Amino acid sequence: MTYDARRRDRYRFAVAAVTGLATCAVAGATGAVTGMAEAKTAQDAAEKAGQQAAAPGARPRRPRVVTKERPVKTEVVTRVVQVSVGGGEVSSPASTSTSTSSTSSGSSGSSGSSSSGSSGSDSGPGGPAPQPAPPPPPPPPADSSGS
Amino acid sequence: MSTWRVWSTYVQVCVTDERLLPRAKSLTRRLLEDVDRTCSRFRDDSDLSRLNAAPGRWVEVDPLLVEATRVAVDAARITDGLVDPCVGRALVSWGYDVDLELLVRRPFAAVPDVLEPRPDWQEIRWQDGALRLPADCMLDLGATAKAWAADLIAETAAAELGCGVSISLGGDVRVISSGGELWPIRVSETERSAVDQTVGLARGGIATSTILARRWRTEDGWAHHLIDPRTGAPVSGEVRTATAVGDTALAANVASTAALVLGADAEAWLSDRGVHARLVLADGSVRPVRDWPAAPSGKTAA
Repeated sequence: MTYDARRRDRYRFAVAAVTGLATCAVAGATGAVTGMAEAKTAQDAAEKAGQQAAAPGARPRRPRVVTKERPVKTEVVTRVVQVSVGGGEVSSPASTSTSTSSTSSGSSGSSGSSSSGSSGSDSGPGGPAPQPAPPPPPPPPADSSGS
Repeated sequence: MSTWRVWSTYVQVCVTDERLLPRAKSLTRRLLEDVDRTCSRFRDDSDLSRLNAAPGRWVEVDPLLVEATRVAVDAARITDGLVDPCVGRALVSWGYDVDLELLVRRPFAAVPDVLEPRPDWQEIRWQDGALRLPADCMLDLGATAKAWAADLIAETAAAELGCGVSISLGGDVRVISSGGELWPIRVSETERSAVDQTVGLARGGIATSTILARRWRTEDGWAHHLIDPRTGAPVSGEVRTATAVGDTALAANVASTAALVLGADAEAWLSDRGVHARLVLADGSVRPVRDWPAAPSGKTAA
C-alpha cells in the first residue's frame, strides 16, 4: 500500500482532530478544576466575612472593584530617543586594529594573541615589575548589513 | 556575543562583561517582544493593527507605540518627508501585507496603479497612551522601528547592567562603550553578501539600508520595502545600498534610508548634514561621504 497525498491528508486531519479534542478536554478539565478551586476559595472567604460581620462591633466590608480596560500593559520604561542625523564616531579598519594594539602596547604583552607583544622584554634590569592586568580582549565584530 | 533571528532578520547582542550576557539576552528578548506586540503591522493583535483599523479616530494604545510613532514623525520632519511612516497603504498595494517569509513564497504580485501620495504624517496626533491617524492613512514603522528598538535595548541594557553594550538588529547597530572600547563593525550590502569593509565605532550607531534585501517578485520584476513617499513606488535604486553613522542607530538609519530615497542627490544631502556614510551606486561603485574611512582594498570609485 502506498502512502499517497490523500492518505497523508487524512492522517493530518485525524491528528488535528485528536489534538483539538485533547486540547478542548484539557482546557475543560483545567477550567473545571480552576472553577472548583475558585468556588471553594470564594466560599471560604464568604464564611470568613460572615463570621467577621457577625462579630460584635464589626463593620461590613465593601467588595473592591478593579477595572481593567486592557489585558496587557507594557511595563518597560520608554526611553526618549532624540531624532537627528549626523554624529557618531567611525574610524578606519586600521585604527580598529592599531587602537587595540596601541592599548595593549604599554602592557606586558602577555596575551598570546598579541602580534607585537614582547613578553618580558620591558622588565628592565631591576627585576620583574608589577604586571598590570591584561587588557580585555576586543569585542567581537557586529554586522551592519542591509535588511 | 549571542545571535538569533527575529522579524525575518538577525539580532546580535554583545556586552563587555560576558557574565552579564544572559541578562542582556533576556532583556533584549523581552523588549523585542514588547515592540513586536505593539508596533507590528503583521500581527492582528498588535496595537498598530488596531490603530490602522480606525484612521481618523483616537485609539488607546500602548505608550510604546506612541513613542515609536513620535520618533517616526520626527524622522519625517527632519528629512522633509523623505522617511515617511504613512507609506503603509503603498506597501500593501505593492504586496507587502504579510511577513517577508510568507511574502516571498507567494506568486508574483501584480503591479498596482500608483496613487498620488499625500503628506499625511503632518496630521498624526498623539497624547499619553492614544494616537490619531489622518483618514485613509496606514502607518508603517518599518523605516524607523528597528533602529529605534536597537537604541531602546542598548540604552536599557547599559543602564541596567552597567557595562558596554552593542546591539545589531538587522544591521541597525547601536554601541555604548563603558571604557572607551572601539567596536568593530562589519559592513556588507546584505546578510548573505561578503563583508565589504570593517570599521571601528567608538560611540553612536551605524545602519545599512539596501534595496537588495526584503524584496519580492512582481509581474514587472523586483519590488522592495523602501517606498519613495514622493511617488508611492519603491525607490529607483540609483543608490542601491547606503551605510551611515549617527549619534544613535535611529539617526544612522534615518540618514541611510533618506539616502536611498534621494538617489543621485544623496551625497550632497548627507554631506551638508555632516553624515559620514558609504554609498554603493547601482553599478556597484562605492562613494565615501565625509570622513568615512577609506577601504583598504581600494573599492572606492573615482
